[in-house]
Amino acid sequence: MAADDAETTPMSDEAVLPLLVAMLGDDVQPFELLAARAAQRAGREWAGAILGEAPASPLPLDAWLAMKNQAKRSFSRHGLAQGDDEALGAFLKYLAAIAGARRDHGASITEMSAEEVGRALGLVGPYLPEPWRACFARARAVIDPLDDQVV
Amino acid sequence: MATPRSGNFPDTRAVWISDRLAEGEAGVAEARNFVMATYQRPLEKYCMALRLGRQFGAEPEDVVNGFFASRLASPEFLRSWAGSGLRLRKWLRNGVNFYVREQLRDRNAIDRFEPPGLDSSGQPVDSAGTTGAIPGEPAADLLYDRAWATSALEGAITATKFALASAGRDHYWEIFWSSRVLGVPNETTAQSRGVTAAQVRQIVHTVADRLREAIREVLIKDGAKPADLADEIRAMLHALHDHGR
Repeated sequence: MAADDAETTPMSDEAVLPLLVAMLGDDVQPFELLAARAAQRAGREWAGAILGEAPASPLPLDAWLAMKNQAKRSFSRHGLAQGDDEALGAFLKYLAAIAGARRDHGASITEMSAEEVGRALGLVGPYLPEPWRACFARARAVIDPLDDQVV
Repeated sequence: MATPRSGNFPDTRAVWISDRLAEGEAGVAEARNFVMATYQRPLEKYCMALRLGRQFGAEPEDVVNGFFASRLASPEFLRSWAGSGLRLRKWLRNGVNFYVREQLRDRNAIDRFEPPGLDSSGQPVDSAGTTGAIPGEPAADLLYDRAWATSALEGAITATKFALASAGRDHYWEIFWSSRVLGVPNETTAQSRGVTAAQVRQIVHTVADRLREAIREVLIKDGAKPADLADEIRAMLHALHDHGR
């Protein structure tokens, strides 16, 4: 859609998140930028294209770790800070691997705190296509905030 | 907890309204208009959730209009808030509760009335009757916070669009919306607008800065500390996102 055709009526659910994240300026966290990207019109399709089909059955923990490590190599803090689409896509995969490990094994495979992971999954998850949306929700539900032991 | 930022603003609550009240009639009117424009709808939602006013046949809109007419007629009401240490929205929410209680008392519609000076839990309140904590239903408080966040966000958007229009840059908002809300690639927008992608990025950045400034003004008027801006925006996000889904 061209900018000339843009509907600028505010306050739809989808508009609220990108607007508030834009207001955060330099204080923004990567997962907030990612949520704002996924909340955009066609954001769900964008996320779905990056994540592909989620495995119906649990994956071994090593598989989630491999996915996380591969994704981590594909984004830089600079790219994330710029809201670069490629970096955000890699970060989405990174977060999906963390969610999968939580969901399938109750394991933490990140240095992010349990609280931060919970906030990230809660903010991004609702904008993902199924079955990833359910995967993020399930992972968030099994997070023990006192357990930050990294595998 | 937010780290205090560069300190462009004094870390003092209630400065804006205090300054307006000190300006005489015009300033008082400006403060009053701000309160009514920003808090009318959230207070109506709150009254609706708690069915306040139903006991004496008043609609939420009537309750809030009556409350404003009763309290905002005198600058003392807002002056009292400035010294309360409460956020303006909490102060007003408490004030509505007391106003309704007064209406019930005047109509002899309640069996028991707490004497002035004490709230329902026996805690002391000031002469405006607004300091004591009101044990409102959590659901009503959530609705109120959500309605307030919506009102604050709309206020910031309106102020931003007005500032851009005043500078002859109405199209900036459309470009920002297209990029940040709709997710149109900058290259596509640049092509349709006859500018470069770098210019689109710069325009989006400019509008985001103005929005941030606008929401900061709304939050400061509500009594937020400027250093807590990011936390305040995240609280709005929580109210509008988590509770709105």
